[in-house]
Formats: sequence, structure tokens, C-alpha cells
Amino acid sequence: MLHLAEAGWLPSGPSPEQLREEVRRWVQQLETTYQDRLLLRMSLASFSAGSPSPEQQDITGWLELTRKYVDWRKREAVRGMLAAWQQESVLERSGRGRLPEPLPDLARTLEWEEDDGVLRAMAGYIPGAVEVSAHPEAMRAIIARWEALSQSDNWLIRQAAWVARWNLWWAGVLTVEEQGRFGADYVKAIGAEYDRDVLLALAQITPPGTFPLATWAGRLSDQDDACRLAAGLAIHGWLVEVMEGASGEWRVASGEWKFTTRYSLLTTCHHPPANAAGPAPGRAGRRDGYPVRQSSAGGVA
Amino acid sequence: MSEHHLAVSPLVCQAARNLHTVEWLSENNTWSSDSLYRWNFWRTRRMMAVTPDETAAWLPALAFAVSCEKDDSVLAEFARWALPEPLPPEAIPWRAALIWSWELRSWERQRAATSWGKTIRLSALVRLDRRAERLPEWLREARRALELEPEDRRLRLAALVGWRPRPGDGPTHGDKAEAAQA
Repeated sequence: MLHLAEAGWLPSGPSPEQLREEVRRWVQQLETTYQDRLLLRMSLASFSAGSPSPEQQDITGWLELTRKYVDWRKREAVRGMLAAWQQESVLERSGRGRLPEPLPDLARTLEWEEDDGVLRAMAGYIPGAVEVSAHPEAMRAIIARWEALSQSDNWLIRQAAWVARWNLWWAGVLTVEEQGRFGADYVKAIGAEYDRDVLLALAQITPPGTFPLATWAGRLSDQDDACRLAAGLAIHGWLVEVMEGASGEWRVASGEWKFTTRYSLLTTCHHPPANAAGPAPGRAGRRDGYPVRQSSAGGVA
Repeated sequence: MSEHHLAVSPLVCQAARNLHTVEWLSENNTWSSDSLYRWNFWRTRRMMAVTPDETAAWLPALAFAVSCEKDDSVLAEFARWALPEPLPPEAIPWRAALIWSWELRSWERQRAATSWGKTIRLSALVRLDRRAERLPEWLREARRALELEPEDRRLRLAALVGWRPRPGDGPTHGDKAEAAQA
């Protein structure tokens, strides 16, 4: 109903605001069982932030559902929804403002939150510039807390904390000192991390500064297959970037250069024929999985 | 084979790199035998901050991964991926490829599909239908959901709730109010 109302499919009936409030009340009253965890996640994952002005939304009621006394399944689903709302405001380029980001609330919550599922949902929350300048102390506290959590004994929390630290670096909110600590901690972590899934996350995030090739190369002789694969992934990504730099292919960014490509499958696949076996896998000469706007191929250690 | 001379945008290059990453990983035994490892890779990927273009650049890799994946947990993670709106022009065929990958799964696994497996696929497909092209199908599925056991029914309906038409798009047949009534 909410999605239909927002798309203008309901000429009469409750407004999107009323419907949104009804959903919040439903979540508040829901008894959370294991099945409800799935139900909550599915329902809230597609629950839209609203249009045209998510920045005007009052999210106080939702934040009440992230308090310590609320069941962790509910906290996790609501935090995931708030992160998805923020992502939506970035992904839907309609000129809408960003959702107001309650940085002080986030800082306070991080002080006591211990549930790894909730922390994972919180790690996807990236502050905007306006909010950061309005709450500099809360921002520093959040960064310090994620730094501490990246040393947690719980691998799920360590993994979440590393992604959160990378997101904050990506958002450009780290001071020079914090960036330095991020880089140094990162190198230390890839040398010492014993959990394969945390190492995989570390392989996916690009460290600021020089690529720690020697440390990653050391992990190639790890006894654990998954750790070796993570190291291979990181090195493979770095090598591809080096090759790009060497071949000067970045010039295509200007849009002025035409060259013979192996990427044609990516540019010509419109509607596969009925007997096709899914999307044809293109064979490309490069990979990394890292964002376009950053390059870590500047150096090697 | 004829050569293709194309002006390759940075977005296409990035998409090629991402696709190559996933292809490279999928050739590794550890990757293909460990669904938790794959789930962690994609979950981390979704947690990472991205711009709309960066998100679009993952679509070919995601389509490839969907077509290869056998584990319902990993598929459920794929179903949660959000698409940028509007899509860059280069990415429109990639969206079609992603839909095709999910469709292929529906067809391929129809006979053996569990209720949860079907719920996941529907969840992905309704989220991809922002242009309101398949409303009759979702209405049919909503009616069928009423015949399911209570737990399955709730999850199936929660999946269908993810259908969110763009404000500018209407149903293929009839007007919006009539369709909403249905």
C-alpha cells in the first residue's frame, strides 16, 4: 500500500506518511521469533525511505526501536532499514536530500551495542558531510569505537568494524591521523588475521596509501585455503590496477579513445535468446572489485 | 570473428573488472565449495559504500553469480541488492541480464523448487520490476500465496511487498487506480 501510494497509484485512502507510521507500529508490536527475523528483514529491506523528501522524515520513532531494551532481531532489522534508506538516497539520483543521520545517536549506541548482527547493519551507515560538520565530536567517537571494535575477539564484529572503517575513509571523514592509523592497523591485520572471512573482507577493502604487497604475499603460503584465496584476491586486484596504469587505459575515462575491446558482451547483451544459458560470461583482462573513484596502485611496500 | 570497435566507458571497464573478479573466484575450489565464504564476500560487498555508477558496475558480475549459485542463503543475499535509479544507459542491458539470470533459475529449478527458494526468486524479481511491467504476474503470485502454509505465506507476501513501481510508471494495461484495487 505504501509503495503504491508513493507511486501515485492510490488516488484516495491513507497518505504515505500514515502508512509509514502504521508500518512502524506493526514493527513495534511484532513478537520476534526466528521466522519473524526473516520476515522483518524482508519487509524492511524493501521499505522505501519515501519521496520526495526523506530528509524531512522524523525517524525518532524508528530510533526508539534500536534501544537496548528492544529485541536484537528488531534492532538489526531497523538498523538495516536505516542504512538501506541512506543507500536509497544515494542510489536514486532524483536530487532528493539525504536522510538525516543521527550521528550522536549512532555514537551512543555504539558504546553499548554488542550484537554482531546489529553492528553489521550499523557498519553500512555512512555519514554525510553536513552531519559530520554538525557533530564533529560524535564523529570522532564513532571512528574511535570502530577502531576498537576492529580488535574484537568476535570475528563477525571485526569484519563489520573493518568495513565500517573503510566506509568512513571512503566518505572522506577521517582526519590525517585517523587515516594513518587505518593504514597501519590494516597492514598489521592482514599479517596477523587468523579468520578467513575477516581476511576476505580485508582483501575487498582498499587501504589508503601504499599497497602492502609483501604482507599479502606472505599470506599466499597460509595453511588455510580460504586465507590463501583472500590473499590472491587482494594481489590480483592490485596487479590489475598496476597493469591499467602501465597500459595507460585510464585515458578511456576521457571518453575520447576508441580501441578494440574484449568487453563487447557487456555492451551488446540486451535480451538473451530463449535457449541461452544465462548471461554470457565476458572475458576481461582486468578485475579488482574496488570502487572506480579510488586507485591504490600508486605504490607498493 | 569480427572485432568490435567500441568507445568503452569507465563504467564498462569497471563492470568488466568486477565480472572478471567473480569469474576468477568461481574457478577456485574453495570458493565453489564454501557457500558461507561466498555469502561473506557478497554481504561485505553490499555493506561497502558505493556510488550509483559503482553499484551499476556490479550488475554483470551479480548476474553471473546468480546464474551459478546453488545456495539459498547466498541467493537471498543477492535478492537484497538495490539498483540505482535511473540506470546509466550502459547498464540497462545488464539489468536485463540480471533478470534473465533469476528467470533462468525459476525455469531450471521449477520442479525441485522449495517454497523458500521460490520466495527468494520472487523477492529479487519484484524488486527489479520498478517499471511495473509484470504486475499481473505478481497479482497471480499473491493469490497463490494464500494457499500456502501460514509461515510460507507470510514470507511469500513479504517478498511481494518489495514491489515498488517508480512514480512515473503505470501498469501496462488499465489505469493505476484499477490496478491498485486489484
